[in-house]
Amino acid sequence: MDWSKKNKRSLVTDQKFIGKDQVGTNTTTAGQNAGAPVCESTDRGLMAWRLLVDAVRFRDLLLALTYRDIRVKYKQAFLGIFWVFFMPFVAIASGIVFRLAIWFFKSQAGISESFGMGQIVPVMVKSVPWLLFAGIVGGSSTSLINSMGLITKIYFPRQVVPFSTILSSMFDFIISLSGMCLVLVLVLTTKIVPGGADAVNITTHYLWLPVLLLILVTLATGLGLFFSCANLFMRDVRYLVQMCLNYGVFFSLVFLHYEDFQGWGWIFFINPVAPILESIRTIVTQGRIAPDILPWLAYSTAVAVIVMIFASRFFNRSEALFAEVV
Amino acid sequence: MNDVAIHVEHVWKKFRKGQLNDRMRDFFPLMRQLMFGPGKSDADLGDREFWALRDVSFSVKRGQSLGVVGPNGAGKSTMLKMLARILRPNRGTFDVRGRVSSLIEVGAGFHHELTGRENIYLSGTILGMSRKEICARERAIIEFSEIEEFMETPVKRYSSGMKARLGFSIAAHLEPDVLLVDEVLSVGDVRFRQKCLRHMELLSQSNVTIIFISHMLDQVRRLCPNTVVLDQGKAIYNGPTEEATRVYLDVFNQAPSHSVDADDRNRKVELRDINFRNIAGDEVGKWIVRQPGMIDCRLVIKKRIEKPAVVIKIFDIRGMYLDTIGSASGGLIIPPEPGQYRVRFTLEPMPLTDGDYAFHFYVYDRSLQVPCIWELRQPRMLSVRGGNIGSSVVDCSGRWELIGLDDSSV
Repeated sequence: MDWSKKNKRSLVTDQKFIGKDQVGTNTTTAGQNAGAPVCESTDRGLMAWRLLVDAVRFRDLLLALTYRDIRVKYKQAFLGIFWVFFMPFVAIASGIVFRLAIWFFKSQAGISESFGMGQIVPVMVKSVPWLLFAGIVGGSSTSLINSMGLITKIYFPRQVVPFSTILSSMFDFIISLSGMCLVLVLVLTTKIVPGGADAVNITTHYLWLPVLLLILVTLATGLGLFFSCANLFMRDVRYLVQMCLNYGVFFSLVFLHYEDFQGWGWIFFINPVAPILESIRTIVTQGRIAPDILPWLAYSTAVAVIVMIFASRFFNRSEALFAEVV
Repeated sequence: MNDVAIHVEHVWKKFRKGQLNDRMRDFFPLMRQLMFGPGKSDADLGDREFWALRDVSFSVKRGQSLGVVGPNGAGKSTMLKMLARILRPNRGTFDVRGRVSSLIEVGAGFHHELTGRENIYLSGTILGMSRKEICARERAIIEFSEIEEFMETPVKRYSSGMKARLGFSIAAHLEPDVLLVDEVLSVGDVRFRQKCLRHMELLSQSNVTIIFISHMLDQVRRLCPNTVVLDQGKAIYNGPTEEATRVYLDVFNQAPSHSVDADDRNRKVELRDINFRNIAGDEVGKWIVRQPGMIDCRLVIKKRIEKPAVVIKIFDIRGMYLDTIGSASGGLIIPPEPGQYRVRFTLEPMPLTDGDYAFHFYVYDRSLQVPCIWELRQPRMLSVRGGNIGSSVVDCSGRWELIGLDDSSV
């Protein structure tokens, strides 16, 4: 039905723009155009898919913006691309400090266990995905504001902007993930840190990890899309998102584990990020998703899908107003 | 309808004065609008809102160029942004057929940290080219911009002229069906500007539809057979460019004149009934090249002025100062007593070439050391017609003769 089918990557072919004709005729709605497909009651659920498909259609633009984000992020910085490793390293280090403190209090209370990879690995495997989540949400929520100059001057499908920051966050993630894996393999094989014997439990359940990451990325993308356009309308959102990401570390069970809270750990699972991270941890360390997390994981998945659908609708609805409200 | 590239029908667009969404009471209407789409009030003027475009209609045939002129704030850029789909109209419909490229700001897609070459790819894809297309045209783009040696330099180190050159070069190689150009040819030096204009003429000849916004009337006249004149959001004229130029200049001429003195009672002097005449004495809207012209006005002196003098300053349409004509330096002595004096200035021979000119009028008291005692707030605009458009600045006429023959044995 729309122009994009005819000419794959040209910006515009045959557009028809229908504004509101007269007061009182409510049949046509202003603000819908061919680039942002008309949102009708029949295809509401597909909006997320449409946004994705359109973004893929403009893959040259998507990749160019992603390349720009990656290039610019580490340009004119002495450490350059090593920042990709440095940030997770600091996150993991602070997690280790956290675990160390808990271990110290436990040994004071008479619970004796040795500190080693058994405590470090859980923090590692949760920190890196958390940084991915924070990177996507934080990066994309300010992406539209940061490209105000583009939005008010040139037309292109707007979702390309947040999507490109998502892609560059994923690029960072893949690099830091491979770095982390390398370190893990090295440490576990050379056994320079004690307690590595039962820290990792490789089973076929590891195949769930990509699925869990997909759920995490879906949730982050939905939130990122929503916040990116909400930010244009209300600058308050920027501070809200920043605050949530700063302190979310504690509420998403990145350094803590739900077992730390005895029977009350489930309260943290109301935050949909926590079950995903805990599932990742239990797969890596125990070789399977702990059964008491499973229902909460289903809940997280549902939330991720709902957020994505809602955010896409919101994005699509407000897209036409972007150039006016920034 | 197949040969129509752009069709705009009764388009209205409103904007809001002041800050948007900076208080809680804006929150709920905004939420309602975002969740349920624009409500009934969308097509009406609300609190603190104004119409930037009112009921604008026009259509452009494929391969034709349309000029858009008008004073600042007339809605020209709003119009263009709407055609580029950056803004949506509140009422009315429009239809643009074919691949659209908009040049609303040169270098809009640039990132200052990236090099010139990287920016060709970035800006090019943002403007709608595929990677393949850019690869094929990279050479041509760099050559057109004439700044090849700076291709590996970050754009943040570019001069503004270099940025403009690169930006225009990228946009020039887009190969669109419809090109929207907003006042971008005012950048770069004269030679590059001419090059861009020539390039646009070529595009226009190769069946590209161009919408061209400019304050430079000679550029519009050169490129566009038809022009729309916008004033305060309304299309007050749509037709041949020649007539549109006159309508556009009239917008300025209608502006009220004021004296320098804010207080009317203290006003000692005033210039009234300024009009332009041809050599036969008829009031005209334009002068003809190489034919003398006359300016008549009425100098009203209310209180005695020692040495009154009428001064006319002439600027061209780009704002370049051309000359000052003073009645005192021309040898005219106007009596100091109160009264109404009809003053005529005859411009002969006529040095002005084909173009549009702004005449500023002043009254001086030569016995005082003050700048001027009265001035016309808005300049009067006048067209001169009959020569080649925008090709020369002054009319240099003179005598040629053969002054001898040297016996050459070379």
